[in-house]
Amino acid sequence: MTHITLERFAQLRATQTGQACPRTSTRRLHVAATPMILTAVKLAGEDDSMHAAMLGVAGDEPELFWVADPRQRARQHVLYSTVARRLLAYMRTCRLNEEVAQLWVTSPAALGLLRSIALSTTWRYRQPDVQRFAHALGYFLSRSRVDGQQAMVCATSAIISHVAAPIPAAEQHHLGALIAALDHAGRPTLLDAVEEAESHPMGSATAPEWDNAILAPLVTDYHAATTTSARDRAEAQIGAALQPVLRHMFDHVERAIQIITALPHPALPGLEDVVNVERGDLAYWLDNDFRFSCDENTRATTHAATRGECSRRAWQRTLITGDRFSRAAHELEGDILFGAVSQLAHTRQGRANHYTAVVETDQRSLSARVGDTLTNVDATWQSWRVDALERCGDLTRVTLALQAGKRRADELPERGDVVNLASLGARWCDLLREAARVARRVRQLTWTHDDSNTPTTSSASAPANLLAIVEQLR
Amino acid sequence: MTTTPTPKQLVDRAYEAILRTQFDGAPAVLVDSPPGAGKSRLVEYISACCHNLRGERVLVVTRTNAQAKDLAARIGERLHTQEITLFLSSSISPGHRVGALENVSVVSREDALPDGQCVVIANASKLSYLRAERSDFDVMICDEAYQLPEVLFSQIANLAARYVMVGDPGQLDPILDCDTTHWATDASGPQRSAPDALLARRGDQITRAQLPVSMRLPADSAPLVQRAFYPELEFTSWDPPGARGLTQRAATGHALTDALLSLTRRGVTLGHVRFGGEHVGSRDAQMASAIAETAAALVDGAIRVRDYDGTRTLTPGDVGVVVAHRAQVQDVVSALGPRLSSALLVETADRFQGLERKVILAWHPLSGAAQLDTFHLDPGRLCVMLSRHRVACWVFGRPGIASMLASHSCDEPRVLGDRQHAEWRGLQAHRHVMSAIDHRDRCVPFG
Repeated sequence: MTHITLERFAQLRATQTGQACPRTSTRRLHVAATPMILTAVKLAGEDDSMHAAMLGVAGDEPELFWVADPRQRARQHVLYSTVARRLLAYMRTCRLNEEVAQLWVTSPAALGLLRSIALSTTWRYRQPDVQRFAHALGYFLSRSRVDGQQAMVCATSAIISHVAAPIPAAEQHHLGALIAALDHAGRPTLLDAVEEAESHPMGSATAPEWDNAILAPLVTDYHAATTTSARDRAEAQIGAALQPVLRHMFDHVERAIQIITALPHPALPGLEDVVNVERGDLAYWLDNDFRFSCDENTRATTHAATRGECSRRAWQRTLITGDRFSRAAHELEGDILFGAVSQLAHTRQGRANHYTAVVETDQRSLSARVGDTLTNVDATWQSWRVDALERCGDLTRVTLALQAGKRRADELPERGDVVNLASLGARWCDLLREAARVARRVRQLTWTHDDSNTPTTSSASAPANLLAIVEQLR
Repeated sequence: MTTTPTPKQLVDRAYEAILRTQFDGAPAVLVDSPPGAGKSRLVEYISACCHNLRGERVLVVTRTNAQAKDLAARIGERLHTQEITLFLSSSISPGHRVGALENVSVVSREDALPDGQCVVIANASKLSYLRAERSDFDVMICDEAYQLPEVLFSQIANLAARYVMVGDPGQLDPILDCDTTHWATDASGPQRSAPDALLARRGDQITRAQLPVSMRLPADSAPLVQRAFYPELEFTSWDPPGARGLTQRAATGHALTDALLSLTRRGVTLGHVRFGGEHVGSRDAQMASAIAETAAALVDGAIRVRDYDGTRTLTPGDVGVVVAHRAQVQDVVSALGPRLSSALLVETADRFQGLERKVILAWHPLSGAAQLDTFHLDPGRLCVMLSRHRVACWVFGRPGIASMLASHSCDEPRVLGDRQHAEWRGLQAHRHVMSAIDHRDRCVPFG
């Protein structure tokens, strides 16, 4: 049984009972004090455009921004510029208030639209307004790739990561359907509720029938208008048509935020450390005027990749130490050694104290190997080196030697105690140190990583029978 | 009249040409090597050449501490007039082999690294913690270079002016443990191996070379492995057909083992144990038992093994079991029992990289699989499994693998500019291997 199996078990249980089933024992998302919601739709056939966007802080009245036809690039850029100004103002306010800047969208499909727009605007247009848009959006999109991040939130993913909903996994990324499945009280059946919800668009595109019947004629009218007032009127009608579509999405994201906030789970221990990292990253991004695609040179790429790896390890550590579900999943996978202490010995050699323990486990899968260093998940000050692994029937006997924690010997596990030992990675506080280390290492690039450098090597005449000479050196 | 060069001549010519690049001013040399082709020996020769003949500061980079210790011991033992510095964290023991060598000194602090002409050996991660922004090594020799991810190479590249990368391009790719989709189209992205990234970025500056002979793989296995996993790297076996083998005075009493030994007597060194019955799932108690019983019959059967170093009795240390999943390790170890499990190495392919045994029992990664995915189709994983043996490799699998491979179509998204689509390469390699080993000449039905 693996992590995936455990998640499927929760899914099956939800389907069987018709009720949401918890997937975590803690709340892994910090809902910001002022979460910003962005819902946007493209025009059919214009995959990296924004026809309309609704932007606002949850609980406040959102603003609608739109263009009559996003194929008119100049007007599209004005829209980008307006959204960028609002987003940057929000980010700066968050920074000033030492709060997390958190952008919510409906689903991964909505995130995909933003990603595609940010990439295309960064590469194709050099106008400062458009670049500012890429700068603002880029912060959230860059964060979205990093494990444990709290800045860019897909509402469906946020809910799904905490609860299994009683609908098929394929339907769970329609925010309307997902919320209907959780909130279906009052409707005749779960199926009716989900079906009704699915009739409303929730991703990045409007419904094709609606496009044909409503939107296309309005856009045609706009292009056919011969006077400024007629064009303005047509543009206003387009906005009026798009407004309820986006508002419906916006309301659902607000509801998703309420669902996450109302979860009965306690906050994941260590979540505050993650939030601190998020605050620091926001300041760093704003101060350094980054763009989404800036990590195309060696320095930025190396930074991003090492930070990504460090974040993944730190997030796994946070989950393993703080969330019972996650710990159980890792025990099943064998990443955590889970067993009872059958022997504990203390010896002295001169002034040095040596502690050894034998842990017996019936786990069928175990990743620990001789030489690994394992940390006690419940007492992270304590680490043990694996000295031997011996399989006896269905049991594995793991012999361990204490590496760290000798000064707290009176707190070591006793015979019969159950322990959880895992190879725990970096902590969140290591991120800054890692960044400084990488910065030092990539400050001076050589020709291998800097096209402007050329190799400076000199040739010399090689002796005849070179191989024979080298072999004689042995 | 022209004569076909002997394997030794081929190897000597390749070594000579590679050593000469160090005098030609080649800024970077990439040496592609098949399994067991003498990579470590080449690293030893290049370091000796640069240090002793060119008077240079040489940095030898490995991927792990175990490799660094192994290389330090190897170079220290063979070049005992050469002073070697092993740069190792203070918490790691250098081991008895290194400790016994007077010409190998172990340092853990950066300021203890030697000045002037020297040979320093360290793992790449340790080097990435150096505080000096630029060091003054003349040449960096990367051992197992295809295991070194670009993200790590970019942090240590500035330590030297020239590079020699020696590696096996058929093994498992390095893993970057984070979301890499952003760099999927970047041929020199941080998730690539250092040689691939360098080729993509500065291919014009790289001198390429190949090692043409596998000392490890026997004559029957080498062409099969070459065609499946190394289409761009021609190599042959060191020994002629029939030079290596397993012999027995009497039947072992275990029918499957006897049938496999009979295959080996006919010169087949890469065989297939085709199980009967249907089974779905990577956990397969019957398979684990069959592998364990075969291993036990081999080591208890007074089997004589004939290899380049002579003929002797097969010991538990000569046999290895390679599997795809950790859980399968536990299953086989349980089935082996305490007597054999401590003496015989049972490991996943990922952890078997770099190791070799006389006889390998491999649990086919697709055995019992309900569907194919990128993990199971990874050509590197199968390549590791089929290239660890010196004398014989027997692959254990359930029926249905060939038909599943035949009907599978790659559905992983293609990435623009990525000519090394892993799933497609894996599918081709698996199909090639299965069509070869499923032939009646190589196949032993069981159960």
